Amino acid sequence: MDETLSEILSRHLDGDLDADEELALSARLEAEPALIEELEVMRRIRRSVAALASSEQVPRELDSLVEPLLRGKPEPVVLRPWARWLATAAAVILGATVVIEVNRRNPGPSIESMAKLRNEGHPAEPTERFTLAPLPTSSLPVEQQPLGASDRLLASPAPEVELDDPLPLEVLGPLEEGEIPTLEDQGTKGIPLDEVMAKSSAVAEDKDAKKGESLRPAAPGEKGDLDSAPQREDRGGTREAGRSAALQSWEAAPPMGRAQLFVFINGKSAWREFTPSAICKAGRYSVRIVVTGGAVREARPVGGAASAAPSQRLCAAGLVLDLEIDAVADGEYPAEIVVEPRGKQQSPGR
Amino acid sequence: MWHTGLVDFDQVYERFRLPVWRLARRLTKSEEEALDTTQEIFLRVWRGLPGFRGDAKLSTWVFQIAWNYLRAHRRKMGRSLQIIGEDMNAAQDLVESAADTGPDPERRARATELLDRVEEALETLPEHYRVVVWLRDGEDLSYQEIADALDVPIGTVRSRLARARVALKELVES
Repeated sequence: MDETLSEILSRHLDGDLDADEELALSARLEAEPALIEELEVMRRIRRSVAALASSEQVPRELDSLVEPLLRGKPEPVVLRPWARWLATAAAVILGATVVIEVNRRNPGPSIESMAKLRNEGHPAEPTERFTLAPLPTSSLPVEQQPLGASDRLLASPAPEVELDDPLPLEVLGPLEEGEIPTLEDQGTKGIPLDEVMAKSSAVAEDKDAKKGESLRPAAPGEKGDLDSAPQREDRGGTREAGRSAALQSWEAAPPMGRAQLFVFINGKSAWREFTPSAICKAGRYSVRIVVTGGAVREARPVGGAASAAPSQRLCAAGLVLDLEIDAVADGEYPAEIVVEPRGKQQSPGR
Repeated sequence: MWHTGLVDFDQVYERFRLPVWRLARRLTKSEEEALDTTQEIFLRVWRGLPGFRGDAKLSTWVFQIAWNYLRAHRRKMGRSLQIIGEDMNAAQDLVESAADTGPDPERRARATELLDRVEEALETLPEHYRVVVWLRDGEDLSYQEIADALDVPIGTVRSRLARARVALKELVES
Protein backbone atom coordinates (compact mmCIF):
# COMPACT_ATOMS: atom_id res chain seq x y z
CA MET A 1 0.00 0.00 0.00
CA ASP A 2 1.47 3.34 -0.98
CA GLU A 3 1.77 6.12 1.55
CA THR A 4 -0.84 8.32 -0.06
CA LEU A 5 -3.43 5.59 0.13
CA SER A 6 -2.53 4.63 3.68
CA GLU A 7 -2.88 8.24 4.73
CA ILE A 8 -6.26 8.45 3.03
CA LEU A 9 -7.43 5.33 4.87
CA SER A 10 -6.04 6.59 8.13
CA ARG A 11 -7.72 9.94 7.77
CA HIS A 12 -10.95 8.20 6.76
CA LEU A 13 -10.89 6.30 10.06
CA ASP A 14 -10.59 9.60 11.88
CA GLY A 15 -13.24 11.37 9.83
CA ASP A 16 -10.62 13.80 8.54
CA LEU A 17 -11.43 13.52 4.84
CA ASP A 18 -13.46 16.20 3.14
CA ALA A 19 -16.51 15.30 1.06
CA ASP A 20 -14.63 15.03 -2.21
CA GLU A 21 -11.98 12.83 -0.70
CA GLU A 22 -14.60 10.60 0.88
CA LEU A 23 -16.33 10.28 -2.46
CA ALA A 24 -13.10 9.34 -4.18
CA LEU A 25 -12.32 6.78 -1.48
CA SER A 26 -15.77 5.22 -1.76
CA ALA A 27 -15.25 4.75 -5.46
CA ARG A 28 -11.87 3.20 -4.89
CA LEU A 29 -13.22 0.85 -2.22
CA GLU A 30 -15.85 -0.34 -4.64
CA ALA A 31 -13.22 -1.02 -7.23
CA GLU A 32 -10.80 -2.67 -4.79
CA PRO A 33 -12.67 -4.80 -2.25
CA ALA A 34 -9.37 -5.85 -0.68
CA LEU A 35 -9.06 -2.33 0.62
CA ILE A 36 -12.23 -2.80 2.62
CA GLU A 37 -10.60 -5.62 4.51
CA GLU A 38 -7.49 -3.48 5.07
CA LEU A 39 -9.66 -0.76 6.44
CA GLU A 40 -11.51 -3.14 8.71
CA VAL A 41 -8.28 -4.51 10.18
CA MET A 42 -7.07 -0.99 10.85
CA ARG A 43 -10.39 -0.17 12.46
CA ARG A 44 -10.19 -3.20 14.76
CA ILE A 45 -6.67 -2.31 15.77
CA ARG A 46 -7.79 1.24 16.45
CA ARG A 47 -10.56 -0.08 18.70
CA SER A 48 -8.05 -2.28 20.47
CA VAL A 49 -5.81 0.68 21.25
CA ALA A 50 -8.82 2.56 22.58
CA ALA A 51 -9.74 -0.47 24.67
CA LEU A 52 -6.26 -0.63 26.12
CA ALA A 53 -6.55 3.01 27.09
CA SER A 54 -9.98 2.53 28.62
CA SER A 55 -8.77 -0.36 30.70
CA GLU A 56 -6.07 1.65 32.43
CA GLN A 57 -6.65 2.76 35.96
CA VAL A 58 -4.61 5.20 37.94
CA PRO A 59 -2.81 3.49 40.80
CA ARG A 60 -3.76 4.76 44.21
CA GLU A 61 -0.14 5.53 44.91
CA LEU A 62 -0.22 8.36 42.41
CA ASP A 63 -2.85 10.23 44.35
CA SER A 64 -0.84 9.99 47.52
CA LEU A 65 2.25 11.21 45.68
CA VAL A 66 0.51 14.18 44.15
CA GLU A 67 -1.62 14.98 47.18
CA PRO A 68 0.91 17.46 48.63
CA LEU A 69 0.70 19.46 45.45
CA LEU A 70 -3.05 19.55 45.83
CA ARG A 71 -2.69 20.76 49.38
CA GLY A 72 0.03 23.12 48.28
CA LYS A 73 2.24 22.55 51.30
CA PRO A 74 5.59 20.87 51.42
CA GLU A 75 6.22 18.27 54.03
CA PRO A 76 9.46 16.98 55.36
CA VAL A 77 10.81 13.83 53.89
CA VAL A 78 12.66 11.25 55.84
CA LEU A 79 15.38 9.72 53.78
CA ARG A 80 15.89 6.04 53.53
CA PRO A 81 19.13 4.67 54.89
CA TRP A 82 20.78 4.28 51.51
CA ALA A 83 19.95 7.87 50.70
CA ARG A 84 21.51 9.08 53.94
CA TRP A 85 24.65 7.26 53.01
CA LEU A 86 24.65 8.86 49.61
CA ALA A 87 24.06 12.26 51.13
CA THR A 88 27.30 11.96 53.00
CA ALA A 89 29.08 10.95 49.83
CA ALA A 90 27.71 14.01 48.08
CA ALA A 91 29.78 16.34 50.18
CA VAL A 92 32.81 15.77 48.01
CA ILE A 93 31.20 17.17 44.91
CA LEU A 94 31.64 20.85 44.21
CA GLY A 95 29.37 23.21 42.31
CA ALA A 96 29.82 23.89 38.66
CA THR A 97 28.60 26.52 36.32
CA VAL A 98 25.99 26.38 33.72
CA VAL A 99 25.05 29.28 31.60
CA ILE A 100 21.72 29.40 29.96
CA GLU A 101 19.81 32.09 28.33
CA VAL A 102 16.19 32.64 28.95
CA ASN A 103 16.06 34.94 26.00
CA ARG A 104 17.57 32.80 23.32
CA ARG A 105 18.41 35.79 21.21
CA ASN A 106 20.99 36.89 23.70
CA PRO A 107 23.69 34.41 24.47
CA GLY A 108 25.17 34.71 27.89
CA PRO A 109 28.73 34.53 29.03
CA SER A 110 30.53 31.27 28.88
CA ILE A 111 31.53 29.18 31.82
CA GLU A 112 35.12 30.02 31.01
CA SER A 113 34.46 33.75 30.95
CA MET A 114 32.68 33.59 34.29
CA ALA A 115 35.54 31.67 35.81
CA LYS A 116 37.97 34.19 34.33
CA LEU A 117 36.02 37.05 35.84
CA ARG A 118 36.05 35.48 39.23
CA ASN A 119 39.76 35.05 38.97
CA GLU A 120 40.02 38.72 38.06
CA GLY A 121 38.47 39.77 41.30
CA HIS A 122 34.78 40.09 40.61
CA PRO A 123 33.32 37.60 43.00
CA ALA A 124 29.65 36.94 43.32
CA GLU A 125 27.85 38.99 45.94
CA PRO A 126 25.31 36.69 47.47
CA THR A 127 22.21 38.35 48.80
CA GLU A 128 20.61 35.33 50.33
CA ARG A 129 21.66 31.91 51.44
CA PHE A 130 19.17 29.21 51.91
CA THR A 131 18.81 25.54 52.12
CA LEU A 132 16.86 23.58 49.59
CA ALA A 133 13.81 22.02 51.09
CA PRO A 134 12.24 18.78 50.03
CA LEU A 135 9.57 18.71 47.43
CA PRO A 136 6.09 18.30 48.80
CA THR A 137 5.50 14.65 49.25
CA SER A 138 3.07 12.24 50.70
CA SER A 139 1.75 12.54 54.21
CA LEU A 140 1.99 8.81 54.55
CA PRO A 141 4.62 7.43 56.89
CA VAL A 142 7.75 6.84 54.93
CA GLU A 143 7.54 3.10 55.22
CA GLN A 144 4.11 3.24 53.62
CA GLN A 145 5.06 5.55 50.82
CA PRO A 146 5.30 3.98 47.41
CA LEU A 147 8.50 4.25 45.51
CA GLY A 148 8.35 7.45 43.58
CA ALA A 149 10.25 10.55 42.84
CA SER A 150 9.24 12.49 45.89
CA ASP A 151 10.29 9.93 48.45
CA ARG A 152 13.81 10.22 47.19
CA LEU A 153 14.06 13.90 47.59
CA LEU A 154 16.50 16.14 49.21
CA ALA A 155 16.38 16.10 52.95
CA SER A 156 18.51 15.18 55.90
CA PRO A 157 21.35 17.22 57.36
CA ALA A 158 23.37 19.34 55.01
CA PRO A 159 26.76 18.01 54.10
CA GLU A 160 29.70 19.88 55.53
CA VAL A 161 30.69 21.79 52.44
CA GLU A 162 32.51 25.08 52.25
CA LEU A 163 31.02 27.77 50.07
CA ASP A 164 34.30 29.56 49.61
CA ASP A 165 34.81 29.09 45.90
CA PRO A 166 31.67 27.88 44.20
CA LEU A 167 31.20 28.52 40.54
CA PRO A 168 28.11 30.50 39.78
CA LEU A 169 25.20 29.58 37.60
CA GLU A 170 24.04 32.46 35.52
CA VAL A 171 20.66 32.87 33.92
CA LEU A 172 20.05 35.81 31.67
CA GLY A 173 16.54 37.06 31.91
CA PRO A 174 14.53 37.93 28.83
CA LEU A 175 12.92 40.98 27.52
CA GLU A 176 10.61 41.50 24.66
CA GLU A 177 12.32 42.76 21.59
CA GLY A 178 12.71 46.50 21.58
CA GLU A 179 12.54 47.03 25.30
CA ILE A 180 16.28 47.18 25.65
CA PRO A 181 18.52 49.17 23.35
CA THR A 182 20.87 47.09 21.34
CA LEU A 183 24.56 47.48 21.70
CA GLU A 184 24.68 49.13 18.32
CA ASP A 185 22.24 51.73 19.62
CA GLN A 186 24.64 52.44 22.37
CA GLY A 187 27.42 53.03 19.89
CA THR A 188 29.54 50.19 21.09
CA LYS A 189 30.25 46.70 20.00
CA GLY A 190 29.78 45.42 23.46
CA ILE A 191 30.10 46.12 27.11
CA PRO A 192 33.12 44.49 28.64
CA LEU A 193 31.89 41.76 30.91
CA ASP A 194 34.17 42.77 33.74
CA GLU A 195 32.79 46.30 33.58
CA VAL A 196 29.27 45.05 33.83
CA MET A 197 30.17 42.80 36.67
CA ALA A 198 31.88 45.62 38.46
CA LYS A 199 28.79 47.75 38.08
CA SER A 200 26.63 44.88 39.17
CA SER A 201 28.74 44.51 42.25
CA ALA A 202 28.17 48.17 42.93
CA VAL A 203 24.47 47.59 42.59
CA ALA A 204 24.79 44.69 44.96
CA GLU A 205 26.48 46.96 47.47
CA ASP A 206 23.70 49.44 47.04
CA LYS A 207 21.29 46.60 47.68
CA ASP A 208 23.08 45.77 50.87
CA ALA A 209 22.69 49.34 51.99
CA LYS A 210 18.99 49.08 51.44
CA LYS A 211 18.75 45.61 52.84
CA GLY A 212 15.46 45.01 54.48
CA GLU A 213 13.70 47.38 52.22
CA SER A 214 14.84 45.59 49.10
CA LEU A 215 13.92 42.16 50.38
CA ARG A 216 10.27 42.85 50.04
CA PRO A 217 8.34 43.02 46.77
CA ALA A 218 7.87 46.47 45.35
CA ALA A 219 4.56 48.18 45.54
CA PRO A 220 3.10 49.18 42.21
CA GLY A 221 4.93 52.19 40.90
CA GLU A 222 7.59 52.03 43.55
CA LYS A 223 11.13 52.65 42.46
CA GLY A 224 13.24 49.60 42.96
CA ASP A 225 16.77 48.39 42.89
CA LEU A 226 16.80 47.90 39.19
CA ASP A 227 16.25 51.57 38.61
CA SER A 228 19.91 51.94 39.37
CA ALA A 229 20.88 49.30 36.87
CA PRO A 230 23.98 50.35 35.01
CA GLN A 231 22.70 49.24 31.66
CA ARG A 232 20.01 51.86 31.78
CA GLU A 233 22.49 54.67 31.36
CA ASP A 234 23.35 56.43 28.11
CA ARG A 235 20.36 55.58 26.06
CA GLY A 236 19.08 57.21 22.94
CA GLY A 237 15.92 59.29 23.22
CA THR A 238 13.70 57.14 21.06
CA ARG A 239 14.77 53.94 22.71
CA GLU A 240 14.48 55.54 26.10
CA ALA A 241 10.92 56.54 25.35
CA GLY A 242 10.01 53.01 24.39
CA ARG A 243 11.83 51.70 27.37
CA SER A 244 10.03 54.09 29.67
CA ALA A 245 6.70 53.04 28.26
CA ALA A 246 7.56 49.42 28.89
CA LEU A 247 8.68 50.19 32.40
CA GLN A 248 5.54 52.18 33.10
CA SER A 249 3.51 49.24 31.94
CA TRP A 250 5.35 46.99 34.33
CA GLU A 251 5.19 49.47 37.13
CA ALA A 252 1.45 49.70 36.70
CA ALA A 253 1.08 46.02 37.45
CA PRO A 254 4.36 44.47 38.46
CA PRO A 255 4.25 40.73 39.00
CA MET A 256 4.47 40.24 42.72
CA GLY A 257 5.22 37.43 45.01
CA ARG A 258 7.99 35.18 45.99
CA ALA A 259 10.20 33.40 43.56
CA GLN A 260 10.61 29.68 43.44
CA LEU A 261 13.59 27.56 42.73
CA PHE A 262 13.10 24.00 41.68
CA VAL A 263 16.01 21.69 41.68
CA PHE A 264 16.18 18.30 40.10
CA ILE A 265 18.94 16.19 41.37
CA ASN A 266 19.45 12.88 39.69
CA GLY A 267 15.88 12.99 38.59
CA LYS A 268 14.64 13.87 42.05
CA SER A 269 13.08 17.12 42.93
CA ALA A 270 13.31 19.76 45.55
CA TRP A 271 12.06 23.25 45.69
CA ARG A 272 12.47 26.39 47.64
CA GLU A 273 10.73 29.71 47.75
CA PHE A 274 12.84 32.77 48.09
CA THR A 275 12.44 36.50 47.91
CA PRO A 276 14.67 38.03 45.30
CA SER A 277 16.16 41.30 46.36
CA ALA A 278 15.68 42.83 42.95
CA ILE A 279 12.28 44.26 42.31
CA CYS A 280 10.47 43.15 39.24
CA LYS A 281 10.97 45.54 36.40
CA ALA A 282 11.47 45.11 32.72
CA GLY A 283 15.11 44.39 32.32
CA ARG A 284 17.67 41.70 31.92
CA TYR A 285 18.72 39.92 35.02
CA SER A 286 21.73 38.02 35.95
CA VAL A 287 20.70 35.23 38.23
CA ARG A 288 23.56 33.46 39.85
CA ILE A 289 22.65 30.28 41.60
CA VAL A 290 25.27 28.43 43.49
CA VAL A 291 24.44 25.03 44.81
CA THR A 292 27.34 23.69 46.71
CA GLY A 293 27.72 19.98 46.72
CA GLY A 294 26.38 19.40 43.26
CA ALA A 295 27.44 19.85 39.71
CA VAL A 296 24.82 21.99 38.06
CA ARG A 297 24.25 20.46 34.69
CA GLU A 298 21.35 22.38 33.37
CA ALA A 299 19.15 25.29 34.28
CA ARG A 300 16.19 26.58 32.41
CA PRO A 301 13.06 28.57 32.93
CA VAL A 302 10.19 26.43 34.03
CA GLY A 303 7.83 25.02 31.50
CA GLY A 304 9.95 25.15 28.39
CA ALA A 305 7.97 25.53 25.25
CA ALA A 306 4.81 24.76 27.12
CA SER A 307 4.96 28.01 29.01
CA ALA A 308 7.17 30.03 26.77
CA ALA A 309 4.87 33.00 26.96
CA PRO A 310 5.12 33.57 30.70
CA SER A 311 8.82 32.87 30.55
CA GLN A 312 9.21 35.72 28.16
CA ARG A 313 7.92 37.99 30.89
CA LEU A 314 10.22 36.63 33.48
CA CYS A 315 11.15 39.08 36.15
CA ALA A 316 12.99 38.73 39.35
CA ALA A 317 9.96 38.64 41.56
CA GLY A 318 8.36 35.93 39.50
CA LEU A 319 11.51 34.01 38.93
CA VAL A 320 11.01 30.31 38.60
CA LEU A 321 13.92 28.19 37.60
CA ASP A 322 14.68 24.58 37.09
CA LEU A 323 18.05 23.24 37.88
CA GLU A 324 19.17 19.80 37.03
CA ILE A 325 22.07 18.57 39.02
CA ASP A 326 23.81 15.35 38.25
CA ALA A 327 26.00 13.11 40.32
CA VAL A 328 24.62 14.32 43.57
CA ALA A 329 23.08 12.28 46.30
CA ASP A 330 20.08 13.15 48.36
CA GLY A 331 20.68 15.75 51.00
CA GLU A 332 20.24 19.39 51.78
CA TYR A 333 22.62 21.71 50.06
CA PRO A 334 23.52 25.23 51.00
CA ALA A 335 22.84 27.48 48.07
CA GLU A 336 22.66 31.11 47.25
CA ILE A 337 20.75 33.11 44.71
CA VAL A 338 21.62 36.54 43.47
CA VAL A 339 19.39 38.48 41.14
CA GLU A 340 20.97 41.48 39.52
CA PRO A 341 20.25 43.64 36.53
CA ARG A 342 22.41 43.04 33.53
CA GLY A 343 23.43 44.54 30.25
CA LYS A 344 23.10 42.88 26.94
CA GLN A 345 25.57 40.79 24.98
CA GLN A 346 28.43 41.47 27.25
CA SER A 347 30.31 38.41 26.26
CA PRO A 348 31.06 36.54 23.07
CA GLY A 349 28.60 33.88 24.20
CA ARG A 350 28.76 30.31 25.20
CA MET B 1 -4.97 28.21 46.85
CA TRP B 2 -1.44 28.59 45.67
CA HIS B 3 -2.06 29.22 42.08
CA THR B 4 -3.94 32.12 40.67
CA GLY B 5 -3.90 31.14 37.03
CA LEU B 6 -6.91 30.39 34.93
CA VAL B 7 -7.24 26.86 36.21
CA ASP B 8 -6.71 25.32 39.60
CA PHE B 9 -4.30 22.47 39.89
CA ASP B 10 -6.78 20.13 41.52
CA GLN B 11 -9.08 20.52 38.54
CA VAL B 12 -6.27 19.80 36.15
CA TYR B 13 -5.14 16.81 38.14
CA GLU B 14 -8.62 15.39 38.34
CA ARG B 15 -9.11 15.75 34.63
CA PHE B 16 -5.73 14.57 33.43
CA ARG B 17 -4.49 12.11 36.01
CA LEU B 18 -5.69 9.17 34.00
CA PRO B 19 -4.61 10.32 30.53
CA VAL B 20 -1.18 11.37 31.76
CA TRP B 21 -0.77 8.15 33.67
CA ARG B 22 -1.78 6.16 30.62
CA LEU B 23 0.68 7.96 28.39
CA ALA B 24 3.47 7.54 30.91
CA ARG B 25 2.65 3.90 31.27
CA ARG B 26 2.67 3.38 27.52
CA LEU B 27 6.01 5.07 27.16
CA THR B 28 7.93 3.82 30.14
CA LYS B 29 9.33 0.51 31.14
CA SER B 30 7.55 -0.26 34.34
CA GLU B 31 4.66 0.77 36.48
CA GLU B 32 7.05 2.20 39.03
CA GLU B 33 8.73 4.30 36.39
CA ALA B 34 5.37 5.40 35.10
CA LEU B 35 4.44 6.43 38.61
CA ASP B 36 7.58 8.47 39.00
CA THR B 37 7.27 10.14 35.65
CA THR B 38 3.59 10.90 36.14
CA GLN B 39 4.35 12.56 39.43
CA GLU B 40 7.11 14.60 37.86
CA ILE B 41 4.83 15.61 35.02
CA PHE B 42 2.23 16.87 37.45
CA LEU B 43 4.90 18.70 39.37
CA ARG B 44 5.72 20.53 36.17
CA VAL B 45 2.06 21.17 35.53
CA TRP B 46 1.75 22.50 39.05
CA ARG B 47 4.65 24.83 38.57
CA GLY B 48 3.61 25.99 35.13
CA LEU B 49 -0.05 26.46 35.89
CA PRO B 50 0.21 30.02 37.22
CA GLY B 51 1.65 31.00 33.87
CA PHE B 52 -0.93 29.17 31.82
CA ARG B 53 -2.91 31.84 30.05
CA GLY B 54 -5.17 29.69 27.97
CA ASP B 55 -3.35 30.44 24.74
CA ALA B 56 -3.40 26.72 24.05
CA LYS B 57 -5.99 24.16 25.00
CA LEU B 58 -5.40 22.85 28.46
CA SER B 59 -5.22 19.29 27.18
CA THR B 60 -2.63 20.28 24.61
CA TRP B 61 -0.59 22.08 27.22
CA VAL B 62 -0.66 19.17 29.64
CA PHE B 63 0.20 16.61 27.00
CA GLN B 64 2.98 18.84 25.74
CA ILE B 65 4.49 18.92 29.21
CA ALA B 66 4.02 15.18 29.52
CA TRP B 67 5.60 14.42 26.17
CA ASN B 68 8.52 16.76 26.75
CA TYR B 69 9.19 15.27 30.13
CA LEU B 70 8.88 11.69 28.94
CA ARG B 71 11.27 12.36 26.09
CA ALA B 72 13.75 13.99 28.45
CA HIS B 73 13.33 11.10 30.83
CA ARG B 74 14.11 8.67 28.06
CA ARG B 75 17.25 10.57 27.17
CA LYS B 76 18.28 10.65 30.78
CA MET B 77 17.76 6.94 31.10
CA GLY B 78 19.82 6.46 27.96
CA ARG B 79 17.39 4.25 26.21
CA SER B 80 14.24 4.26 24.23
CA LEU B 81 11.02 4.38 26.09
CA GLN B 82 9.23 1.13 26.22
CA ILE B 83 5.77 0.17 27.15
CA ILE B 84 4.57 -2.45 29.44
CA GLY B 85 1.88 -4.98 29.03
CA GLU B 86 -0.02 -5.62 32.22
CA ASP B 87 -3.61 -5.39 33.32
CA MET B 88 -4.70 -7.07 30.16
CA ASN B 89 -7.81 -8.59 31.60
CA ALA B 90 -9.77 -5.38 31.81
CA ALA B 91 -8.75 -4.42 28.30
CA GLN B 92 -9.67 -7.82 27.00
CA ASP B 93 -13.07 -7.53 28.57
CA LEU B 94 -13.59 -4.23 26.85
CA VAL B 95 -12.55 -5.51 23.47
CA GLU B 96 -14.63 -8.60 23.88
CA SER B 97 -17.66 -6.62 24.84
CA ALA B 98 -17.13 -4.37 21.83
CA ALA B 99 -16.38 -7.09 19.35
CA ASP B 100 -18.52 -9.87 20.64
CA THR B 101 -22.22 -9.65 21.22
CA GLY B 102 -22.72 -13.26 22.07
CA PRO B 103 -21.13 -16.00 24.12
CA ASP B 104 -19.09 -17.22 21.17
CA PRO B 105 -15.85 -18.59 22.67
CA GLU B 106 -14.09 -18.48 19.35
CA ARG B 107 -14.84 -14.83 18.81
CA ARG B 108 -13.87 -14.02 22.35
CA ALA B 109 -10.62 -15.82 21.86
CA ARG B 110 -9.96 -13.92 18.64
CA ALA B 111 -10.67 -10.61 20.33
CA THR B 112 -8.36 -11.49 23.17
CA GLU B 113 -5.66 -12.57 20.80
CA LEU B 114 -5.98 -9.36 18.82
CA LEU B 115 -5.62 -7.33 21.96
CA ASP B 116 -2.53 -9.26 22.95
CA ARG B 117 -1.03 -8.67 19.54
CA VAL B 118 -1.86 -4.99 19.53
CA GLU B 119 -0.28 -4.65 22.94
CA GLU B 120 2.85 -6.41 21.76
CA ALA B 121 2.95 -4.48 18.52
CA LEU B 122 2.69 -1.21 20.39
CA GLU B 123 5.69 -2.22 22.42
CA THR B 124 7.83 -2.59 19.35
CA LEU B 125 6.50 0.42 17.50
CA PRO B 126 9.01 3.28 17.30
CA GLU B 127 8.31 5.90 19.91
CA HIS B 128 7.36 8.70 17.51
CA TYR B 129 4.79 6.40 15.94
CA ARG B 130 3.59 5.03 19.25
CA VAL B 131 2.87 8.42 20.71
CA VAL B 132 0.72 9.60 17.80
CA VAL B 133 -1.23 6.37 17.77
CA TRP B 134 -1.75 6.57 21.49
CA LEU B 135 -2.77 10.22 21.56
CA ARG B 136 -5.16 9.72 18.65
CA ASP B 137 -6.66 6.30 19.32
CA GLY B 138 -6.05 6.00 23.02
CA GLU B 139 -6.70 9.56 24.13
CA ASP B 140 -8.88 10.70 21.25
CA LEU B 141 -6.97 13.92 20.67
CA SER B 142 -7.60 15.71 17.40
CA TYR B 143 -4.89 16.03 14.78
CA GLN B 144 -4.42 19.65 15.71
CA GLU B 145 -4.15 18.87 19.41
CA ILE B 146 -1.56 16.20 18.69
CA ALA B 147 0.35 18.58 16.46
CA ASP B 148 0.39 21.18 19.22
CA ALA B 149 1.33 18.71 21.91
CA LEU B 150 4.19 17.23 19.92
CA ASP B 151 5.14 20.55 18.36
CA VAL B 152 5.02 19.23 14.83
CA PRO B 153 2.98 20.38 11.80
CA ILE B 154 -0.44 18.86 11.42
CA GLY B 155 0.62 17.34 8.11
CA THR B 156 3.32 15.47 9.96
CA VAL B 157 0.72 14.12 12.35
CA ARG B 158 -1.38 12.86 9.43
CA SER B 159 1.49 11.15 7.67
CA ARG B 160 3.08 9.83 10.85
CA LEU B 161 -0.23 8.43 12.06
CA ALA B 162 -0.83 6.72 8.72
CA ARG B 163 2.61 5.16 8.76
CA ALA B 164 2.19 4.16 12.38
CA ARG B 165 -1.10 2.44 11.67
CA VAL B 166 0.34 0.57 8.73
CA ALA B 167 3.32 -0.47 10.84
CA LEU B 168 1.05 -1.50 13.67
CA LYS B 169 -1.09 -3.53 11.32
CA GLU B 170 1.93 -5.29 9.86
CA LEU B 171 3.22 -6.06 13.33
CA VAL B 172 -0.13 -7.40 14.43
CA GLU B 173 -0.42 -9.56 11.36
CA SER B 174 3.11 -10.84 11.47
